[in-house]
Amino acid sequence: MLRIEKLSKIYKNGKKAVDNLSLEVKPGDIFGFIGHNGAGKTTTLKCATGLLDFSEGEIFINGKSIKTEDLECKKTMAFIPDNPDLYENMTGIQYLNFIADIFTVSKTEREKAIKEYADAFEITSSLGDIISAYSHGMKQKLALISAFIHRPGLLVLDEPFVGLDPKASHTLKGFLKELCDNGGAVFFSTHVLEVAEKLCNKIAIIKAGRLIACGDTAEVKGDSTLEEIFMELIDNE
Amino acid sequence: MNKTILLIKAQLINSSGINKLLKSSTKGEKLKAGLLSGLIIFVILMIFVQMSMYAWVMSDFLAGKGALDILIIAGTALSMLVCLFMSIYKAPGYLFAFRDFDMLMSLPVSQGAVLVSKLFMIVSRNAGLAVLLGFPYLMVYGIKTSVGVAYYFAALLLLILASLIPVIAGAVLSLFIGRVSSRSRHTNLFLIVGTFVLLISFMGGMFSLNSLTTANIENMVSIISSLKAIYYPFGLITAALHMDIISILVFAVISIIVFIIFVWLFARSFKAVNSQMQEKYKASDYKMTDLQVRTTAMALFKKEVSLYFSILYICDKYRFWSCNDGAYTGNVYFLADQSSMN
Repeated sequence: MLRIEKLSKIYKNGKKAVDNLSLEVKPGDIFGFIGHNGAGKTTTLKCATGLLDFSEGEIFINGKSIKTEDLECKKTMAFIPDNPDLYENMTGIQYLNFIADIFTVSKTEREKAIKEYADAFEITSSLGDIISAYSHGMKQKLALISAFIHRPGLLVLDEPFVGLDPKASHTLKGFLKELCDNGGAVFFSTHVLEVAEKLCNKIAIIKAGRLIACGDTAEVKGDSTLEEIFMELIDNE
Repeated sequence: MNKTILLIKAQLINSSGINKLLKSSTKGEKLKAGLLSGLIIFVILMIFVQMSMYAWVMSDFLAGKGALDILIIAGTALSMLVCLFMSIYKAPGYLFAFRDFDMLMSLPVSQGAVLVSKLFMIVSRNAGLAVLLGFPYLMVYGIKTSVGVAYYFAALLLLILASLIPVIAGAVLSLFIGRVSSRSRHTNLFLIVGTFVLLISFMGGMFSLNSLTTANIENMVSIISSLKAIYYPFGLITAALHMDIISILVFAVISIIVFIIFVWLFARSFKAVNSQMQEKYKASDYKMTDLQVRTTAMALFKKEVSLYFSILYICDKYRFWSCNDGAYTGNVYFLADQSSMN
C-alpha cells in the first residue's frame, strides 16, 4: 500500500530531517510511527503524502510513485496533519461537501458517509455552524470525517488523537480497524504509546531522522512495554 | 465541476465571510455588518467621485493642449502601478506559505489548479482596484469625446485585463524578496525593508502629483507620453479605446498569454517554492546564559516591538492619497505572520 525506500530529506541549512528511511505499510496494517519531538515523523508523513519534495529515495503508493504520479496516489489516500487548517469561514457541511466534490464522491454516497461519520462523532447538529465556532476537538472530528468521506485505501494521520475526547478516540479506533479489515491501511504518528501498543500491529521508532526499530509490535517490544522499549532505544541509540 | 472552480468557490466563501453575515445570531451583529458594508460602499463612492474630479480638472488642461489621450494612459498607468504594489503586498500571503497549503496539496488537485485559484483571489481584488482608480480617467475621456456606450464596456474590460501583468510582476518581485530573505534569520526584516522601499518610492511618486500646477501637469504629460514608448501595452490600450478591435484583441491575447505562461512556469515549482518559503531559519545552537529580568511593562513593550518586526502590515482595503487634501483612507489589518494570511 505504502512503500518508502531510502528516504532522505535535507533542509536548506544542511540539516538531514530524515536519513535513509525505509518502511512498508501493507494492506490491513495499522502502522504506528513514534519518536521524540523533532525526530522527523511529520517530515516523513509529508513526504509520503506528496506535500514535501525529498532529496533521495522513492515513495510508492499502490505501486505508483508519489513523485511522478502524485495525483493518482492522492486519489486513493487521505492525509490529516497534526493541526488541520480548515476553512474557518465555511460551515462544517460546506467543507465536507467541498472535499466530497474534490474526490468526486456521488451525492448518495456522500450523504450516507457524512451521516454515518457525523453521527458517530456526534457533531451532526454542528455541521451547519461556521467552523471558526468549533472547538479544537470538533475541528479534529470534522477533519477526520473529511478523510473518511471518500473511503480512502490509505489513511495517513499526524497525531490524530490529539484533542479528541475518550469517546471520539474510541470511535476513531473502531473506524481505523474497520478500514483495515476492508483491505485498507493506516499509517499514523502518535505520542500516545499506549494507543500505539494496543492499536497497531506494526511499529516504527524514529530518532533524529533515522529508523531505530521497525517491525511487528510484538517483536519490537518483546516482553517489555512499548514505553520501556522506546525509552531504552531513544536513550541508548 | 472543474477542480479549479471548486477551489475558487471554496476560497470565495471563506474569504467573503458571507456565512458570518448570514448566520449572525443577533440583530445587532447583522446591523453592524450592514453598517460596515454601507460605510465601505460610501468610501468607494467617495474615492470614485474624487478621482473623477481630479481627472476632470486634468482633462480641461489636456484638451487645451490637444492631448486628451493622455488621460487614458494616466488612468491605466495609475491602476497598474497600484495593482503592482498591492500584488507585492498580497502575493506572499496568497501564493507563498499560505495556511491551507498542507490541506490543498494533500488533495488530488494539480499544482496549477491551486496556483490559479490563489491568483484568482489576487486578480479579482486587484481588478476591483484597477477599475476604481483607472475608470474615472477613462470615463472622463469618454464624456469629453462623446463616445458610445460600447467604449465604457471596453474600458472596464481593458482595465481588468491590464491588472494581470502587474499581478504577475508583483508575484515575481515578492518571490524574489522572499527567496533572498529566507536565506537569513532576519527573514521578516528583509521583507519589511524591501516592501517599505517600494512603498516609499510609490508614495514619493504620488506626492509629486499632489499639486495641480501647470508646470507639474506639463511634466506629467511628457512623462506619460514617453510611457507609451516604453511600455507597449499603453499604446495598445489607447488604440483599443478608440474602438480598434484588432488592438483590443491583441491586448487581451498578450495579457492572457503572459498570465498563462506564468502559471505554467510557476506551477512546475510551486510546491518546491512553497516548501522552501515555509522553512524557517533554525540554528539550534543555543546555550543557556544569564537571562534578563524586566518589569511587566517593559516585558510587554519589548514583546510588542519584537512582534512588530516579525509581521508584515498588509493593506486589506485600499490605501491611497487624495490629491486635494492628503486625506488617507483605507483599512489595515494586522497579521501575526505571513502564513496566517487567508
